[in-house]
Amino acid sequence: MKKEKLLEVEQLNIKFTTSIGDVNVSDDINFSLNKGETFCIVGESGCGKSVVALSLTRLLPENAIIKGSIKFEGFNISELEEKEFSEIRGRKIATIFEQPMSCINPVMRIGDQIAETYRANFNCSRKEAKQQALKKLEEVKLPANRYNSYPHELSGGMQQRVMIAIALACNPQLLIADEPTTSLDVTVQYQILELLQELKEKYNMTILMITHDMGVVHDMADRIGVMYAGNMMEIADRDEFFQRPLHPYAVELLNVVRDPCIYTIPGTVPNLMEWVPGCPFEPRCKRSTEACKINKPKNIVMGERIVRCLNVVPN
Amino acid sequence: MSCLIEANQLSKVFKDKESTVFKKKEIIAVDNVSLTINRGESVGIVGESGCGKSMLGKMLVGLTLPTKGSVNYDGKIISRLPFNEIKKLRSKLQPIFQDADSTLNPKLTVKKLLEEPFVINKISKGDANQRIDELLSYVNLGKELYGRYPHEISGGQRQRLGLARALSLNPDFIVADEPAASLDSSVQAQILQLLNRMKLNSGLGLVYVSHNLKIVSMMTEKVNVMYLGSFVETGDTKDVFENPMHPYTKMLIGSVLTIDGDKRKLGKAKVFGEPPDPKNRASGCTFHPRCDCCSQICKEERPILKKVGNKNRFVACHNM
Repeated sequence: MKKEKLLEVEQLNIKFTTSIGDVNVSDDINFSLNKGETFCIVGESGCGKSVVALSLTRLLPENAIIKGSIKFEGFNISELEEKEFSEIRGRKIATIFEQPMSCINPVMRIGDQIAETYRANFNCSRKEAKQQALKKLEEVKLPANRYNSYPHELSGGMQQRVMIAIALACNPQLLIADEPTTSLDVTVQYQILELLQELKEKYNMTILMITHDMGVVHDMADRIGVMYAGNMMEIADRDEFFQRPLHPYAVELLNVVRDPCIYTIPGTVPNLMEWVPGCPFEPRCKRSTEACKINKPKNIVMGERIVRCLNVVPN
Repeated sequence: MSCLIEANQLSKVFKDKESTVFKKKEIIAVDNVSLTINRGESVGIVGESGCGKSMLGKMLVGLTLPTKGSVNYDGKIISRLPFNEIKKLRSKLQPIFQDADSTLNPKLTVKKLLEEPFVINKISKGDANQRIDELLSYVNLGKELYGRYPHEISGGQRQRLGLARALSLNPDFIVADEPAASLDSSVQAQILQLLNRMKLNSGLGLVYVSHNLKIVSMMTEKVNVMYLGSFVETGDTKDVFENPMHPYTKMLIGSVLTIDGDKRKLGKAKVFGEPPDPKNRASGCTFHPRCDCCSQICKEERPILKKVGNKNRFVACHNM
């Protein structure tokens, strides 16, 4: 069965120009999302995973230079005019962030904020918008009497639910979730992830999830992309990935997460300002060779799997 | 094993901002908690945010004085000592915080920061320098960092610098309050291994405060599960994690997502509700609004920690 592709990202290069030089945060990244799946991009802080996610809806600051093509439902959206793009942002592709307070208005009642989305996008009356908003509140499991609450009266988990309600107001086909549960307690994280899973099935949504938490990936993902220093090191199916990771970084990362008291990855994440000719993981890699220092590894495609490494871990 | 720190019925109560002369309102952060830590032992305190675990940690090292109860160290009751006496003890009781940045003066270089504890405690420069060299190699930091300022080194390095400073005066007891929470998993492992090695080498007592159950299960021998200011379950870590008894412990352990095994966990555990607000405490058992096996007595009477089984296990629940 051939899976229908919802989003295809090809040769995505993102560079930030700053006063102290250029920073390369995305280096020839290719990935695609199948309809109805959850794709998780996982990586350590500063690896560029959030930047990639934000670039999909053009939410990056002005000093970002984006090259490459982004196809949404087979339609190249990277060349659209800003005005046309706003038809997609929010309506077809919605985003939720780590900090709900950064996206919801602190001086507006939460119910009105959800209703506002309906008013802006569907041109409906206030009464209809309120009804829709109440329906959404119920869907994200907030009691209806919270309609008139202000954001600061809610807990972190509830704020996250409000943001999910706003994001899902337009029934988007793709939901980008950028570290949606990082700042929450495990018990609340569990409930939010359950909610996302439930809504995903209900609306047949596709989710692009950005996270650094392997536990979350293990439970949410259908397919996984591992990023390191602006490179997509490995893309694989969830089951295959956890059973047999191929990229040395993925192998070590899984070991460290499994048993942090035994394994370590020596060294630190490289500085993206310093350009390296070879593989960015080479200084920390156990399998590195001379060739790794000189040549940038190319993507090796093995069926559904893509690995960017010169010395792929053997069976 | 000798007892290093003994906390007896510690309570910490804050006055609510809304409190008036006529209507007193209190926030109970820590409620009647007793705890002993032996030499060479590591004890975990876990719970959701706002349950009072950090406050308890601060009271154990004498950074905050308890409202009621006492902390005994070396035959002295810390909370009753005058300030200059507590100050002398500080070198033996050291905290490590999640945010190392908050403990490092941004205007001092790494070298100066490392020297600071020795200067304060009037230790000669020669001895200090020798100890600093030892410490740096111990926490795996290079001498090239000496001239740098805290903002010029990475988060992992800052955390290790904080560790080196905490260790510099050979403490007996360390409270590590989420020491690795803000770090990436690969760097986190370095800090955890360092803490473990430190505990083995110098036989100090360690209290590990965290919301990360996976790490607590690996780092500690005993664990205390805290909910709204009091312990609901205490026991040997292995025992508690393999066979949780209190409904809250079950919920907490059930909600941790790990990468062990092939199966997904989501949707299998029963997890309800939000971390409670200490201002609006529930009557009876504070956990009853979120509990799935709550009965009438839970709403009325507060359960106390009772010994369960033969092992060192205590659970506060009516429905055992």
